[in-house]
Parts: sequence; C-alpha cells; structure tokens
Amino acid sequence: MTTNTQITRTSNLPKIIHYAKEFLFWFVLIATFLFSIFPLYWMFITSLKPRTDVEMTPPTFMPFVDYQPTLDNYVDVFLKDRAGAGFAEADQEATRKISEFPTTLTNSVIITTVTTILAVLMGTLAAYAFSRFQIKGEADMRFFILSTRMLPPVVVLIPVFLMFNQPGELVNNALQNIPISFIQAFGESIKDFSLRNSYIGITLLYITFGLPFVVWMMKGFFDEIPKEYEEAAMMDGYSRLEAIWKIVLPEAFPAMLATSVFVVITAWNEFVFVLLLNRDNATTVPPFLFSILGYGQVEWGRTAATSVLFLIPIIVFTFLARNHLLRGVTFGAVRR
Amino acid sequence: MSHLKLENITKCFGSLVALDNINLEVHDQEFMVVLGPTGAGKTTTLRCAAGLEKPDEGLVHMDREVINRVSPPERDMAFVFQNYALYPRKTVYQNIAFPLEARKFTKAQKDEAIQRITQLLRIDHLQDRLPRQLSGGEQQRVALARAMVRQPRLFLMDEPLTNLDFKLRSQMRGELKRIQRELAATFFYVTNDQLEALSLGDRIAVLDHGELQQTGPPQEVYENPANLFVAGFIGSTRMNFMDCSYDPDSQTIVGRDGVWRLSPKEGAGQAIVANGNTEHLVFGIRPEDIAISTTDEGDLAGKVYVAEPLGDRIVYDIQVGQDMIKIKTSPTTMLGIGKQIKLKVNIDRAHIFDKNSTKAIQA
Repeated sequence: MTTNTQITRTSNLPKIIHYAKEFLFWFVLIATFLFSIFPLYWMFITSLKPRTDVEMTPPTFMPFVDYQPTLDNYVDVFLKDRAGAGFAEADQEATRKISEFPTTLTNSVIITTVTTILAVLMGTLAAYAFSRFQIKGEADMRFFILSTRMLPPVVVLIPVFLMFNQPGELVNNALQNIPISFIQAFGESIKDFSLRNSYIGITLLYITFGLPFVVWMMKGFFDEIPKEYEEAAMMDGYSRLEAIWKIVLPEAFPAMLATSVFVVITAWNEFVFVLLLNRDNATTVPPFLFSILGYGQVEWGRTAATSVLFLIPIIVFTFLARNHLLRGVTFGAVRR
Repeated sequence: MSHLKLENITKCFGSLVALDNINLEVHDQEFMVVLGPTGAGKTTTLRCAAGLEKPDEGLVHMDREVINRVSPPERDMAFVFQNYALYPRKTVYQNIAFPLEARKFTKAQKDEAIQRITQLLRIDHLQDRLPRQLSGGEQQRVALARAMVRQPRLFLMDEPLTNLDFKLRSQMRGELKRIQRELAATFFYVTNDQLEALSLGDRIAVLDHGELQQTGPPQEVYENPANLFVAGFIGSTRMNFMDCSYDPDSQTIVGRDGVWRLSPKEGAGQAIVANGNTEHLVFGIRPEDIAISTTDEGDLAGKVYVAEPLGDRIVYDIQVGQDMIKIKTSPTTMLGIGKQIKLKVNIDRAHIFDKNSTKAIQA
C-alpha cells in the first residue's frame, strides 16, 4: 500500500525543482557559450567592417543591418603599409607591395607541421617504452620529463637565447684547442652556425616543448591498451616492431590525433620565443600580427582579418580530427 | 617433434618470487596441464615457455635446443590468452588470417586453412563479424581458431575456458580434448579448475606459490597426492583432514583427544615411525571413501551437522570430536540433523601427512 500512496501523492514541489534545475543547466550552458564565442564573433565582424565603422561609438554588432560588410581588410592583410602621407590615393595603391603575411603563414604551417609530426612520433615511441618495458628509474625520468613543463617559459627564455645565438662559435672555440688540422678546419666551417632565425632551431624548440605533453598523454593511453594485443601478434609470428605498427598504432591513432591537436595549437600560437629568436627569418604569424599592431594608429580591421585567416587552418584541422577525438577507443575483444 | 623442457626456471618480479626453480617437461603430442590457485605462477610459467617473459635463471629447451634467447615469433608456438586478445579492428576472418599472413600464405591457402579451422570450431558463419559483435564463447573459439589455423610446435593456453559459463565450459572441454587428439598437437595448458585439469590432462603439474608440488597423470595425483596442498586442492569435494598422532605400541592412529583409533593400512605404521614424527600428523580421507555404517559397529562416531543435497548425491557434514568432515552419500540417504551415526572408513584409501613438512607419508 505504501508504494501506491507514494505514486498517487502529487506535489508541485518536485516539479518546480525539476524545472529550476533544467533552467539553471541551460542558463549556465548558454552563458558559457556566449561568453566564449563572443570574442570570436567580435573579431569576425570587425574584420568585415569598413574602416569608418571599426571604431564607431556606440559599437555596431550586426553586419548588413548596422553596416555594409566589406572584404577590404582581407585585401589589406596581403599588402604592405602605405608608403606614407603625401602620395595620392591611387599612387599609394599602386606602390603597395605584398606583405609578409603569406610568408609567415607558410612558415607557421611548415614549423607547426614538422613539430607536430616529430613530437607525436617520438613522444609516442617513448611513451610506449615507458608503458611496456621495465626501465630503471622510470618514475624519476617521467618526473624529469614533466618538470620541464613546470617552469614558466619566460624563465628559460634567456638561456635558450644564448644557446641558440652562436652554438657554432662555442663548438669552434673548443675544437681549435685540438691540434689536428681537419678538426680545426671543421670548427672553422661551423663557426657561423646559429640556430637563430632558422627553421631547425625554432622547430627543435617547439618539439622540446611538445614532447613532455605527448609522452604523458600517450603513456596513459598505452597503459589502457592491453599488452596482450602485441603479445598475441608476436606469438602469431610478428616482431615487436611489426606488432606495434600493425596492431598497437591503429589502436593508438585516435589518441595520437587528440594529442597532436594540443601540440598543433601550442606551436601555432607560440609568440614570445619566435619573436625573440626568429626576428629576421623563419618568422611565424603571431609576431607578424604583433608587428601590424605595433606602429602608429592600430588598424583594427586589418588585424582582425589577419587573426581570422590565422585561425582558419587550426579550425580546419580540429574539425577534421573531431570524429577521431569523439570516437575514442573501443575495446571489443578483451574482457577485463 | 615438440618437446618442451623447463629446467630450473626461476623468475622474480621485484621481491616477489613468481617461479622458484621449476622443472617441467611437456612431451610430444601430450596434453600437459598446469594446475594451481590464482597467483601460483601458472601464467608466468607459460609466458616463460612462450618467450614473453625472460626467466631470471634456468633454461628453456625445445627439442633439446636451448631457446632462452629465441624471440617469441621465432619460437613457432601459439598462445591462447585468458582474455583472448582478439584484434579489435580486425574481423574474425582477418584475426584468423593474421598468423598466416606472417608466413606469407597466398589468398587461396589462407582461405582453405581458415575454412577448415572455422568449420572444425563451428564459427564459419561469423567470419565477417568484429570481435565486439561476438559472444564470449564465440570470441573464445575465434581465439582458438587463430592459434590452430597453423601447426605450431606447441600450443600454450592460459585458462582459455575460465571466462565461459558452466555449460559452455564443459562442452568446450570435450572439444578441446578431441581437437588435440585430432591434430596430434602438443598442449601446454594452464587452469585453476581442478576438474578441467583432471579431465583434460594426460599429465598434470600442480603449482603453488611458484613451487612445483607434484607432477603426474591425473589419476595418480588424485590417488597419491604428494602433500597436503595437492590433497586439498584436487577433488570436487575437498579431502577431509583430521589432526592425529600415531601410537607405535598399539600400532594405531589416534584422533585428537583420542576420540577415535584406526589401524593404518599395511606398512603405513612403519613408514610413520621411519619418518620420525609420530605426534603431529594429519589423517586425510576423501568424502567418497567414508560410508555410513549400517550396524552399530564403525570406525568413527559422529553427529550429523548439516546436509547439502546436490541432486545426484547428498553431502553431509558430520562432526567427529572437534573435527568437521564431509561424506558423500546416495541421494536417497536421509539423515536428520543431530543424529548420532557410525562411519566406516576405507582405510586403504586413507592418507597420512606429516603436519610439519606437509608431505604425504607413503606406505
């Protein structure tokens, strides 16, 4: 009888609590969404505004309604600053040269791609070893790897700058002490070698930044893959390397992709080191973005357009990877 | 020829001694079963044979050749894992074909071999499924098929039936035995189920705490357990153990507090005296070797404590002095709880153990 009374007794209170919870849930969700999407929206509409509308007060929010959108800013991204005052408007347009944007964007793509591929590949192999083999001092090594991420990047900026500046000279100074002619000659030949302003230098640095993260992510992931998979493959007649390639890596691929999204974003957005180390050559987009902000009056429309173009590759990559990110992993065949 | 020999194998994981000086042989075309409780070192033994684990000490021989340094793929053995370890992204066909591809089989050869083994294991209708679409029993058959699709020198099986339900397990037991005979294969099989070991093994090796307790044909291990552990571990209803001592003057075994006295079988008395310990002994008798006396005469006197009807038989717990013993009776034997009864012991099938060394004292 007690169950019956419980079912038939209707009170409005639980219903109200239910709706309140529902409301709160959606309110927080929508508020968070708007809060995070608004800067992107603002950047996007600013990039489409005519110069006169960019700094208008009160601000306008709706393209087509408040103003007529234009692609002028996007054209500006690819062109250098005007030569200066005093020229006629038509002359200015004619004399404007192609900006650094295409070059820096290409650099960004090259550096980020190479960084991501190498960091994820090496980090995955290291993580596999950590996960599968008994390694002396493994815990200490793993802590050491992680500890490189604990320092704020600015702290290592100076030593990295010094290391990158003239490593060739340092090596040469040491080699000149050896009284063997061809070694001295070799030292002489690398004397001018510098990691500054080079693709190799900045890529090495980004790999160093990315590796700890990859190792930790992938180690956790490999621990989840039963070691019986590759052992079964080894019993089936494959070497360990073949077993990794044929069985383990396909399992680990979604995790590698998820990890690479983080590595890509870190390398793509990095600003301080590339600004300091690669001022003259192999510069990426973030310092370029900074440079167009830097002089005289800020051209917000052009800056916003550059930011949008800078964002697109990341959005495309994340979009392509999202299925793998969401799919996760399925362990169908193993009972645990 | 497939002849595996483990010689003085010792394996430690940190401070844990997983295997302690194991000596074991698997003869050609033999069904060898390693039996032991969880954590006894059974799987480690198998993994040492497979090369997945390197022994700290000792030699692994295959056909008189030391193979300690031979890698797993070169050993040409097949391993059936307890969790099956089917490749989750491969279909049943691709799973079974995988070991053949390592051996560069042509498509036609592959198809033929897979056809043959899937029919044998009755999974030929499942070839296009993924492992996660299979039931436990089907996954287990696929794992077996992947091992049996080729003719390895040795089959290593790590509790392959443990994850199956009772009915399927007894069915697969029969099939495994039939397949092993049909393929004339050599099996090195690990289980913690004593029934599985007794029914499958040509020989069984009992393992506990990394130490080999006894090796021999199932019947021999059952009839003459080497020590208390083996005696207690093997048998569907555990052997009864009662503390006792031996009185050389009257030549009888005396139960605790002198509640019972029995004359041991021929020669057992001398063996006990020769062993040197007459005080701390254990008297072991299997439930089926005790009968209820129909007269007032009997070897033991006890009180019915509880009855467990098991359908084809009834197991009674009888209190004898301070000891509780189990007896098996026909399903029609009805004994009220608390009833005083007399029991007859088949003394020729009784065992005497030295309580200190736990070893059996053989007459």
